Amino acid sequence: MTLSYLVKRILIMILTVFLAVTLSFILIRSLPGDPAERYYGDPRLPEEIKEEIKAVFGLDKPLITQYFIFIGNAFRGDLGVSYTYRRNVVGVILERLPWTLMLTVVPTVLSMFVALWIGTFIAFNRGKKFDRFMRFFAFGLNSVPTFWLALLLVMGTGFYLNIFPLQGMFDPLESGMARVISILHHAALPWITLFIVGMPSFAIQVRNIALNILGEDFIITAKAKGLREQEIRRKHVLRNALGPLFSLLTLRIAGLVGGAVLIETIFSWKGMGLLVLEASKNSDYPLLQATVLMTIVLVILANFLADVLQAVFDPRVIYT
Amino acid sequence: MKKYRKVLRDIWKAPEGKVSLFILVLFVFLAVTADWISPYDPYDITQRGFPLEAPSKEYPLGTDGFGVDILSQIIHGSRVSLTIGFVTGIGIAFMGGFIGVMAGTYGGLADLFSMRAVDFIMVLPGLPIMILLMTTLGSSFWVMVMIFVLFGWASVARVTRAIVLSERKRGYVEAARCAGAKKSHILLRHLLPATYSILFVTAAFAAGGSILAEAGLAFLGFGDPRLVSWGKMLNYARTYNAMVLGAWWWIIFPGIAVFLTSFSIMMLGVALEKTFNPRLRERDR
Repeated sequence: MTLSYLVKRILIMILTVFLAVTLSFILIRSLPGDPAERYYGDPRLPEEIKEEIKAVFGLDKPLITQYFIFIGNAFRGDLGVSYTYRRNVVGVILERLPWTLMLTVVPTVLSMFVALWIGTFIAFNRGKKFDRFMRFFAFGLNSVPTFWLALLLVMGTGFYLNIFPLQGMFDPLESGMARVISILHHAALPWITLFIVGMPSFAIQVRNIALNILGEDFIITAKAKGLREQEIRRKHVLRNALGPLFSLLTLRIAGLVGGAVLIETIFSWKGMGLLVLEASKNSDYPLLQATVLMTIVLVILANFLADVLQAVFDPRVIYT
Repeated sequence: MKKYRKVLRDIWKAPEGKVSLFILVLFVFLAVTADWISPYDPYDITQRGFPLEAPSKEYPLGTDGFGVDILSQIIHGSRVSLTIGFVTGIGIAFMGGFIGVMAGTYGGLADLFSMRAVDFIMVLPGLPIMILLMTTLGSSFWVMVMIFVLFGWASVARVTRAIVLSERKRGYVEAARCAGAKKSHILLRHLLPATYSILFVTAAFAAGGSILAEAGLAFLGFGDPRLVSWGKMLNYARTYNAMVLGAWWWIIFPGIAVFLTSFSIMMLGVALEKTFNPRLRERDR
């Protein structure tokens, strides 16, 4: 890991965020209607008060000045005021973020461990029945709409069998330890859904990584030394798979945060995804814009982290 | 022409190809003849039965909460899904192919800018941005197609560019250049044909993916309000509490339709990949 590589990656990252902020500013501003009007609510307000509101939000200045103010504010973490919540959008989003992370990180990490085990196993037993089955299963799952699978699971286990609650995040009547258990009970089904959807394709990715490693010279050496298969799996394959694996993991979490809208809708899970939908239904443009921007920043950060981790774990990565 | 017939025969020989072609042809048939074969017209509000009727002889897949026949809705909904898959598949292949070939052939600034754009688009989280765009631009069929193409072309461009770059170093291209062929001639006669196979395959995968994405967006309420689609059926099923009312047929059948179409198109992609690239068959055996 050289310093120049790190600096270059950070510069590209900042540039990407900058581009995303600019594009979203252009998109939101090209909408018809005066953005200040949204805050007055009542058009009969006296002119001076309207002017004052405009001045507070900087809407009386020329568009290009507004753009620079917006950029400056965005990098300072101020993305405007929500029409519906009437407060800083970043505050609203930060309240929702932990719930989305909780929903997505747990099943992803869990499926990583299971996929690691299954993936290396089928790589060693390549072409056998179980390998073929897993690959077909993962491929088929690609075509199953995740939200539909979630609906079926809710219907089966929640409605007919009555094991899990149908929706929501916790029982508001419970408090203390009982509330924690209630949250876990409510999170179980979304976790199971995301695990079922994510694990098989993860295992196939691990399998492909492992197959690449199995073709390397040091594996032949290890076999020639007479190491047992289990030892090769643990000492050589797993250790070398860590780099690419970490990058897969961060990318997956990023993808899930983006795709959380559907799962959160089905389970009425009040995270970032549902916030996007809510803001869209209420035409709350600052909130919508900010939530999407925050998701973009999160994904870009995850990408950055993935690249750096890969470089740390695998010194052979070429820095370009 | 002979070449294409051989490709078709190869697809038919692969087991994936047979199954996927069979399902696809069935759905295309449903979509084309929807007006004649569907038992009821889902757009006609006079052709309604009782709400939430379980599957019976009269309503083979039951009725939804408004008394509309589910089977008729699925038959008419196939039009939306298949058209969106077809149009976005072609759009993505064209746009991605064009930009990829241009970047690979001409290099320089065009290459730099287009590949930076590819990097940018590929890290973006799709769904939230699609919602932002559909909120600001309005939800209609063509806005959706445009958004899918806008997000889909990037990966295709990257792959075609890589193919063009490796193909350019091949002997026959070098020979053509030595023989004094113009750049445009090499581009049209040698480099472009080399990318056709991968464009067909990616178009198939893109089509399958966009059918799923359409269903997801329509489920969230961003479908074209004038059209019956599978995602919208599921959206209504959720909004009007089909589950609590015990109307499992309202939830299960539209999802099966989405799965079958998307799955068959993706399988077609795999079959295409195998016929174009026999080496793959060996590797994955």
